[in-house]
Amino acid sequence: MTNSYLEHPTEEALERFLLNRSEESEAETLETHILACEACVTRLESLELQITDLKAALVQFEEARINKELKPARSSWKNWLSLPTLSWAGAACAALLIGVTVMPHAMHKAQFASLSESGAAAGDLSACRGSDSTDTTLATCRGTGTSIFPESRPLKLRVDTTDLPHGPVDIQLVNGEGTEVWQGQTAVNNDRAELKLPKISQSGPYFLRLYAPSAGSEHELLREFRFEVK
Amino acid sequence: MMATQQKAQTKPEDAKEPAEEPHEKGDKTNFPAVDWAALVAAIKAGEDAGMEQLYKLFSRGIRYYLCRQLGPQELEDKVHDTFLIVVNAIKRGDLREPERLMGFVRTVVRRQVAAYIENAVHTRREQADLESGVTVADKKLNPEQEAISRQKAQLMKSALGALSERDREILVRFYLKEQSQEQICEEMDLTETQFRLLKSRAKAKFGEIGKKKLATSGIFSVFVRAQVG
Repeated sequence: MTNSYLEHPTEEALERFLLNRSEESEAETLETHILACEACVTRLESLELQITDLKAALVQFEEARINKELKPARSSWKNWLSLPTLSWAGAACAALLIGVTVMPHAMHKAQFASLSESGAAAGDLSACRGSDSTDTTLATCRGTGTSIFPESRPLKLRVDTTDLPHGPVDIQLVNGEGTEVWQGQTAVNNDRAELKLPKISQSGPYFLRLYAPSAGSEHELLREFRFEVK
Repeated sequence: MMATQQKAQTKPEDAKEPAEEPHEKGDKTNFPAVDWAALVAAIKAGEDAGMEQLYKLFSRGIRYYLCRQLGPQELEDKVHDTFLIVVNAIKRGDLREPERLMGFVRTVVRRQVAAYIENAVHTRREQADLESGVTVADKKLNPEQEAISRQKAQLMKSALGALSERDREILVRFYLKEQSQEQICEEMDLTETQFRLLKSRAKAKFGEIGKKKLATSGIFSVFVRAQVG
C-alpha cells in the first residue's frame, strides 16, 4: 500500500481540494484517502462550512464597501430635502387624500360587483387533472409552470398517468384554437405513458388529451396536459 | 534589477518573518490499521464480517464523494450500487493486490460517477417528462431561519471588520477573487511563507471572533425565536 494514501492530509491540502485548486496527483491521493478515513471527511465537512461562512461574509463586506464608495454619506438634515424623500412624502399625502375622498365611493360599488361575478376565477390553465369531463370544463387550474419545447423537432414524452388504469389509451393533440393536429395511441404502464409526437412546426400552446379507448360514440377524457412550442 | 534585489533583501512592514508555525503533518498512527489481505480474503469467501468491515470502512467516504459529485438525490441507492460493484469485483478476482484496495475503490467510484453523469446527459437530451400540475419547491427559509441567517451574516460581517485591512485583503483576494498564491504574493509583496501564515491566522482570527459573537448573541436568538414563534 502506498504510504501517501495513509497519511492524513494537511488543512491546506484539504482546502485546495475543496476549492478545486489541487494538482492532479494531490487530488488523487487525497480522494483515495478520504474514501476510507471518516476523520478526514469530518474535517472536510467542517472546513467546507467555514469557507462558506467566510465567503458569504466577504461578499457582504465587499458590497458594503463598494456601496459606501459609490454613495458618499450626506448630513442628516440634507437627507430630508433629497428628491426621493420629498417624492415619498408627496405620494403619502396623495394616497391619504384618495383614501379619504375616493375609497368610500369605490367600496360601495364593489359590494354589488362581487355578487355578479359568480365564481369566474381567473387562472392560468396548465395541466388539468380530471376524469370527469364536467369537472374539466368547469374547473380552472392554476399552474406554476408550463413545459416549453422547441419547434420542428420530434418529441418523446413521458406523461404522468397516476390513478389511471393500465391499458391502451387514445391520444389527441390539439392546438390553442382547439383544432386537432395529431392523434394516436399509447399504453399506460406503472403510472406513466410514453409517446412520440411528430414535429410541430407552428409555435403556440398545445393540449395533449388522453381518452379511454373509444366504445361506439363514447370517448371519455382521462387527462389533459398543456405545453408550449416555441 | 535594483528593485528586485531590494525586494529580495527587504521585507514588508512587519519586517521580521513571523515565526513559522508547525504545519499539521499527517499522522499515520491515527489512520485505522487494516489488514487488507485478510479483508479481501473474507470478502472473497463471502463472509458477513468482511462485508461489514468493508462497509464500515468506506461508506462515509463514498457517500461524501458521491454527494459532492452528483448531489444528494438517490444517494443511498448509488452508495449501495457502488458497494455491490466493489464486492463483486473482489469476488471475481479483479483485485490482484489487496493492499491496493483503497485505490481500487476510488477507481470504481469515479467510473460510477462518470456513468451517472453520462446517463443524466443522455436522458435530458433524449427525453422530456410531461407531468400534470408542475410544482416548484419554495426554497425560501422560514421566518425564524431567515432571522437567524440575517443575524449570522451580520455577525460574520462584523467579525471581518475586526481584522486588519491587510488580513482582509488577503482573504478577499484568495477566497473571493480566487487569485493564486503567487499573484497575491507578488502584488502584496509577501513571501510564500508570510502569505501562508497570514492567511491561516486571518482565517483563524475570523473564526474565533465569529464564534465569540455568535455565542454572545445566543440570548438574542432566543428573543427572535420567541417573536417569530
